Amino acid sequence: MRTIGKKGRFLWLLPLAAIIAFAVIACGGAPAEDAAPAAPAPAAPAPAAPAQSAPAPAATAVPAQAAPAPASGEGATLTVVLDNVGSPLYRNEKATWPDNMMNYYYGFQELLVTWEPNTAGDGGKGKVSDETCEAPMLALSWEYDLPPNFDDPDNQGTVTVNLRQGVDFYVADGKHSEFTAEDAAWSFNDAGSNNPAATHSNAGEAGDWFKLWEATDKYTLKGHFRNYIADWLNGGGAGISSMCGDAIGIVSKSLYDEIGDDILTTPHGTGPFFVQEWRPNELIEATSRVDHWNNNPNFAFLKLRQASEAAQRTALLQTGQADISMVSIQDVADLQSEGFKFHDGLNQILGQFIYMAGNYWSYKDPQTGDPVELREGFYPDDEHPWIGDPRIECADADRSNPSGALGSGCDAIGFDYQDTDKFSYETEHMQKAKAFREALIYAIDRDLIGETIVSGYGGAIYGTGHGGGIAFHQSHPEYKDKWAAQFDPTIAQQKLAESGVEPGFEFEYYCPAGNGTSIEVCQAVVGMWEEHLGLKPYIDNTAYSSRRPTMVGRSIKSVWQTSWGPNSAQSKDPGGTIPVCCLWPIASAGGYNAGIEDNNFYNDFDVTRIQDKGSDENLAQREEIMDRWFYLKTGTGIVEVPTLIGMNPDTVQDWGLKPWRLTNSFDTVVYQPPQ
Amino acid sequence: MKTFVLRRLFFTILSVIAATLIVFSMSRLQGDPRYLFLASGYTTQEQWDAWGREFGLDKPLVMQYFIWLGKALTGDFGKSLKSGYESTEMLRIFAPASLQLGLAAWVFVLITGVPLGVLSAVKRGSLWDLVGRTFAVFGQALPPFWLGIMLILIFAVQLEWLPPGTRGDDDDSILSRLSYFVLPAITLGWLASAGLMRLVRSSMLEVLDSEFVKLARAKGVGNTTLIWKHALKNSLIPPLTFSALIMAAFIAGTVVTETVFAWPGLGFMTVQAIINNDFPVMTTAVMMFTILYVTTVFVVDILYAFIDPRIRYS
Repeated sequence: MRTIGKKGRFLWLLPLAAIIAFAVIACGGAPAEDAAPAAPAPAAPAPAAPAQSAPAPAATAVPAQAAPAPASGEGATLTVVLDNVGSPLYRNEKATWPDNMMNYYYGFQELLVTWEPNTAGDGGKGKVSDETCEAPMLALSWEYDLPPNFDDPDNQGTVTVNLRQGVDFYVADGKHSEFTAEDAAWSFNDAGSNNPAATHSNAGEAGDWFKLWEATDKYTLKGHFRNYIADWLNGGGAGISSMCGDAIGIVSKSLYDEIGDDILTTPHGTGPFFVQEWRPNELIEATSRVDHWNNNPNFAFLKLRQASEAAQRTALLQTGQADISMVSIQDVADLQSEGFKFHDGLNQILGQFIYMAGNYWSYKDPQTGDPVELREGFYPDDEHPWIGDPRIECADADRSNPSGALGSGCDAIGFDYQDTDKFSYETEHMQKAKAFREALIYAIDRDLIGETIVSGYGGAIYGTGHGGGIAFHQSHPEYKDKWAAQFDPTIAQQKLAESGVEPGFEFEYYCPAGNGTSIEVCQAVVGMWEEHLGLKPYIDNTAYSSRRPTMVGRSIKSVWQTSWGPNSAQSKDPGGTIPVCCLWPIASAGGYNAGIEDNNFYNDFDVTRIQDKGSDENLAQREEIMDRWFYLKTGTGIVEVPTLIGMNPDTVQDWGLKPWRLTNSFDTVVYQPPQ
Repeated sequence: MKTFVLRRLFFTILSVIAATLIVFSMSRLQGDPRYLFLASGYTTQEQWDAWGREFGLDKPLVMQYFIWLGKALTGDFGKSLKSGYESTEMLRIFAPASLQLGLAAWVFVLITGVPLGVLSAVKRGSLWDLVGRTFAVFGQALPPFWLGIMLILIFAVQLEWLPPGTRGDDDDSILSRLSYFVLPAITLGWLASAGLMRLVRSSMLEVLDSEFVKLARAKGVGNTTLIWKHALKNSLIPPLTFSALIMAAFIAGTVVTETVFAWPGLGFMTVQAIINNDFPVMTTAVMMFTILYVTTVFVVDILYAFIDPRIRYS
């Protein structure tokens, strides 16, 4: 006992030491200093003269240009709370979705073209369309040098782009270098045009459409088509260089030459803000530029915080710690009653869409004719009744697939839909698989989901088909009622019986986290399949990025839901190339695919890409294509889910939020500091 | 004592080695790690083989383990597949937040659990005892996720006494920065505080019934001295072990609290790594948690033996 008593004196020091340590850690060194490993230099410039502080590392420091000072919000910070601030990804070779989009939507990077509203007939809100999505940004104009026809694969023409002059790249220290055609060329080449190892979100398009970009002089960029496509800039929201969709941001070649691979985590760009610090999945602190070519924000600093929990985002708005916050649909009514504003039109609408993955029907390369090995996700067996097998010689394959073999043990390859003696959409197995897909599609009560889950803020999407089919939304001018898949449980049950699948069948429904997919909509869909068909789907909610390699690698074989789909904010322009990408074998390390491949899609692309957009020929061709998509039913729309953005009415006077994929255009916020 | 320490050290090292084996094996269960980096089907054989040589995948599995271990010992766990940062750099970014919150919660546990436990034991059956036991029941019954949201609604949104979340800004005053810790620390610490309170209470009750306390009373030792000097010191050994382990647990596993309060710490980082299949960050985090936990247990064991001579050589 004596010994215990003496030694026990030390025990009282523990809480004291803890309190002291806590105080030192909490109040001492700022965590910000711990977390900017890749920033080229530590100093932060004053907001009114960003380029006059520490010069960029080993770069030619250019004196700051004289510029007007910010207006009413001078010295102020605009705080925005989002569900995800991502990670800095500034090497295009490795810039994966959706983090790559944050760079330009948040105002740090810029693209060749942007979006400008066409207020005519759209209630002043504007729509995303080919016309509105090709407004000059870093590109001022472009002209084509095209061959008389596109029969020669080695001569698909070129596009020459005249670039904006006097645009500067900024890094954390301030001004770094002038934007030139070398930067633009490297940005596209590194993203996939001349880099087969690229895993950029648009590597497939970059590599499939262009074989090389080059700078012909300081401000002139030349792209050499591998496969000419008229829609390369925007492509109805799926091009490679428009603010309307997933695109390739312009990064600095000269910075890469200086710091090499560290450029990946070194934020830089020509946008209206430059990043001071980007703590992954926590916080982005940026400074407003005062010499931007287009728009200088009226506040000095931008702070983007991540709060994954919706209740936290609402609380931050309610307590004044956020000026702008993404809130959940359930909180909107209460917040409005408290006086909070919501962005006019709530025009960030994400269509929810279902893919029936695993239907890999390309068995030879449409361009070279070389055989394509069976995809890792091609399991046309009883465990995957939505996957059809069009190979005629595999009609007798054992669909119980006891050994779990790829292709149900039948390895026939080297042909495609044009080889009608070997391939048919009408094989018995294809018909059964289609019946199962139809059962799933007709068992979804889209109106009910729209009324309940999204509280009427988003409408149902009735069109059925596949792949970002903008014309499948009922508001599109090309839409036909014959493509609608209205809720009908009787038909659904008949189709299930035709498929031979028994009630009680269990299967995975992949509902990705982190890409805008609504888990609530997923749950509702699963519930309807259980209720109306007696099936037992179970939800996998792992992150989209964790399973994206299975899409790029063509091994995904699940029924899955995503936010990439048709919606009422999308294109109103009829006609164009369809589909623009991703549905046939391509020669690139990257390249997204939803789990559906068919050389017929390549043929569709090849025919429509050179047609006059909106011509009678073009529209007729598109209707024929969409008829086939509707017949095959490898996908379907569900409902629109809006992103609801609350604003503090005391500080946010106005905001030119655009109808793009992510929250954007913070430079247009008219900020009024709290009185 | 020396033998005891060496024996404990041996088992500590053994535990860490076992952990490295488990972590390595689990990482290989996901299949060829090249699939995480390259898209199968669109990579040339040369690229595929080059990546294999870089990862050491052209060697037997045992050799791969030792290569991986060798790199790990030098702190090279590879780069995050998601962000491109070195995995150890990711730890450096996220660890301060967890350490801060863990320490705050630990302080909350100590300043509530110990006094309430003592009061509850000394005033057994009184109002204090009821208060203490009620505190413990609520702490053990309320799910941290729900508790956190309720605290935000009451103290941040309705009463506006405290901030609802985040870590505040670097240019905030010290007092303001500290206010950000209050709600998450309570959310994180209440459950552990309830456990500590019960442990102190039962331990105190046992000591208060012991012969040496009766002797001290008989010799006229004052009540305050008796309770806070003699009885408490002798009843703190089990709570000491408990409190050290909860400190390690706070640092390693605070993901719910971190999510509710937008607090970017190690738990949040680890869960993000798991759902993103970010294998380098995952293994780094698991190894760090293992070493933290094993080291804590080792230190507590030594301290325990140092304080209590009865178990020194056992």
